[in-house]
Amino acid sequence: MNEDLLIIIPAFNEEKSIGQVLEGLKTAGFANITVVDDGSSDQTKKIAIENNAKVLAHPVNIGVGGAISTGIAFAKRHSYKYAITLDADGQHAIKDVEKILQELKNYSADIIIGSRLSQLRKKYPLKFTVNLFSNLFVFLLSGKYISDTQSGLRGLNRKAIEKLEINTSGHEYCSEIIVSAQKQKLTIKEIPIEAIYTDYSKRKGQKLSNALNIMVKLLTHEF
Amino acid sequence: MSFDIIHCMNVFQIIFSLIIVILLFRLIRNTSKISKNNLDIIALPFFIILGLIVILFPDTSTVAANFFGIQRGADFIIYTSIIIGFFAIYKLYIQKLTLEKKLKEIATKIALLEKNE
Repeated sequence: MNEDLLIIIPAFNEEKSIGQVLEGLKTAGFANITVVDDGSSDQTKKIAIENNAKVLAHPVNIGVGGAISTGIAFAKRHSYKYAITLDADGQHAIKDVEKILQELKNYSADIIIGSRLSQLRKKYPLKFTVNLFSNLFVFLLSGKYISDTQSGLRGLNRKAIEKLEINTSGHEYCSEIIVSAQKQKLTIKEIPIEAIYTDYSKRKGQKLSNALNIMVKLLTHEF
Repeated sequence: MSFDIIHCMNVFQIIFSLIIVILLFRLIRNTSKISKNNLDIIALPFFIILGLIVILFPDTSTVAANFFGIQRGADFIIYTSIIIGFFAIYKLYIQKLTLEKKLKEIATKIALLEKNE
């Protein structure tokens, strides 16, 4: 099942959640799962191997953007038709991964982004506000308004796998992908998803204070 | 107890001049290690010598300030330092980003190579 799809999971010290995430994906029938171990010092790599995931290991910690870039390079090299990226902290539901895959198979766009917009607006106003500023910033850079530029759940078709360029190595990759997609004339579609926020995933997620750093890095890369 | 300001200034001038001479000497000895950029090789000794001139002849900063329409030499030095400092930080930041990018490429290559083995 889903032989032409590669699931890419960037992971840095995720021993507490990675096993459960992989178990869920396997149960749902996703065969090709790649964990990009971004220089973890815990048991992440071991647990991923035990769960029959392909493991690409960075020798040192680079950042989530670097891990996604490695995963996409792997998908390109092995000619996967689709790639879906998701977080290792367990915040993405399997049903949403399936929704993204369905959209990719329906050729609705080159890039499908799982948007947490309505959930953030209702339950996490601070995160929603910071996200809104990020969205406006990305809009200024790319000319494309995306309601959740920072979502980690994304689907790419073959064209996007081939054409996307990620030069940044940290969380700014989320925005960079949109800017790069616009330059490469790739189409983007958003579909609503429901993120599962636990104390663990909240702790592991992006820090709000990182927003300014991301903006400076993106500006430096773009100009 | 009287405090001889002029004498004190001279002491500071001597100390700062010595520091600058040592800095210049180390810079000349290690130019190739510090930078391969031609602009750096010219600019660094230039600013160090400029600093030495300002310390030994403080009035020169006022002359330069007046040339740019600024009244006090001290203000001119502060403005110039801010601009140079900002430029230096920006340059270091760009270098850091370039290194990060190279590190990312190397990490990706190693990860893919190990997977192929």
